[in-house]
Amino acid sequence: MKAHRKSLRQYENARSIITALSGSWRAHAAAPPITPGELAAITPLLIQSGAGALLWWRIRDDELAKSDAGEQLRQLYRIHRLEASLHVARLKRVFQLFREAGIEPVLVKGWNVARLYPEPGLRHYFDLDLCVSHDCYAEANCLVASLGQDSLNVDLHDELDHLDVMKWDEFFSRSRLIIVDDTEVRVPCAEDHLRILCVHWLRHGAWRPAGLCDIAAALESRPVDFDWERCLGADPLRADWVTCAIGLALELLRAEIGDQGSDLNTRSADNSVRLSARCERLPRWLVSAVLRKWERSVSPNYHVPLSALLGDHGARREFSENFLGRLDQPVRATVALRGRFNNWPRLPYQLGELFLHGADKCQKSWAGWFAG
Amino acid sequence: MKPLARERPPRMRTQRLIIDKLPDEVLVYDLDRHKAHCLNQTAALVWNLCDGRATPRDIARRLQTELDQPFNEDLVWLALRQLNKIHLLEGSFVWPAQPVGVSRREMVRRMGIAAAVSVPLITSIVSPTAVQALTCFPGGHACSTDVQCCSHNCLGSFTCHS
Repeated sequence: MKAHRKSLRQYENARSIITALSGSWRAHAAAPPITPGELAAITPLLIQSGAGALLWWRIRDDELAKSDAGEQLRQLYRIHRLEASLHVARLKRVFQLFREAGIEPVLVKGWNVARLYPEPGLRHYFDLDLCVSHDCYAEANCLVASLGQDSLNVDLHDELDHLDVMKWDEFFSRSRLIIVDDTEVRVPCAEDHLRILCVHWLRHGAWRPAGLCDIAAALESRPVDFDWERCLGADPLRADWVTCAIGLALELLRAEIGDQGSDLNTRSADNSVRLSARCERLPRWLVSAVLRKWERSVSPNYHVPLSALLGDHGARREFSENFLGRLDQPVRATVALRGRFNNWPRLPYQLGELFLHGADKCQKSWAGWFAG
Repeated sequence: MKPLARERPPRMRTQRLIIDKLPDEVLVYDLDRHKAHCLNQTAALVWNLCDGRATPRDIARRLQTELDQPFNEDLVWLALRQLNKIHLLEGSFVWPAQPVGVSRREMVRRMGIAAAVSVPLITSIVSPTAVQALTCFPGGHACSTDVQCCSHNCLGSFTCHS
């Protein structure tokens, strides 16, 4: 943490967020040592980024709970509790519907990570990410459409889509069934899921502290026979990304890698040692980039389209802020361009990603015009 | 004695509701009206005893026995009024022509700080403002990436597909 002290001093809100969320995924999390002022400052940030209920979990028995910010967080927790019940009802309905049609989906992220937290509602999620085999994808899409309004809550993936590079058959064969009330829900094995969570969080620019809490929760709840080699996968670059994400969970949120028995076999022990060593030498820019995102907690996906600002002379400042906001995505850009998390400058990746994103938008625009 | 309308005791609504019991309150989501409510312990206790057979007086007596504390019938009426207002009672419950019971404010004043049982209270659960920023954009809304849209489809014209 020594190396990052300067960054921590620079980003006050991010520092408070770290204090507030450290250990928040655990069943027994004491109230964080933050002042009512700090709580008021970070509450909107954590609400926006989906970690508000986790903060409530930590302050619920403290004087801080009685403050205005505490009351907001409590309201949020109540909403998330009810949403969690709604999601479970949808989840059961969707799995039953798919199975009746002979399709076996695998549920990733969302509910599958929310169940690792001590109570429902602590980890908020919007939709159900379901992966189905390519052969069943078209039919599954029709089934989702038949759900009516609930279809908005299902994010269907053609096999693993952008989530992972692993072969579907292997991924599916390692998945397992979990019983939810009277329904069996298929989820990835713990190793595959931790890898997916890590890469997904980085791919989205590491802007959500809740995503790092997910990684910490998955790390600390891994089974005794957890296989690090399987988790890190065959792609060395992706393995390095996963290691960096875990390193951030250890470094920033004080997650504990512990000894879950995963070091029982030698190869796994080697991986564990390598993992710890890599976590010790995270690139200098990485922690700073993550803290910068947490300081404002603005989703990298939520920008006013630049085209909308270009025609308005009064919006020059907004345009430049938007442009810089799009450019300042070193984590996302590195992953998008399959770069390594090393100490080399990030600007080439950032410019490259911006160019690719712009090209993609142009392509979509042209396709839209021709179609229209 | 309170005037009970046509002796039709209140019945708890159970259909099309999501109910989540927490240690100190009960959360209810109405799937028909898409409204969320929070019942404090007293309101939840009264609601649970609305079985379509027990009159408000019976409910007060049962709660007095269960809690081993005095439980005024006015409290039951106060809870029933609130439960009815948010559609948590079955429609068959007929209200008396004359208003019964007292207002919540009056009840608090009468009970004073020494009250052992809290006044029944039902509040609506409303999203904190910041949560609204989390929701996805509907069809036709300006967008720049697919993930912004509820449909996950940001069209080339920078609008969400409906």
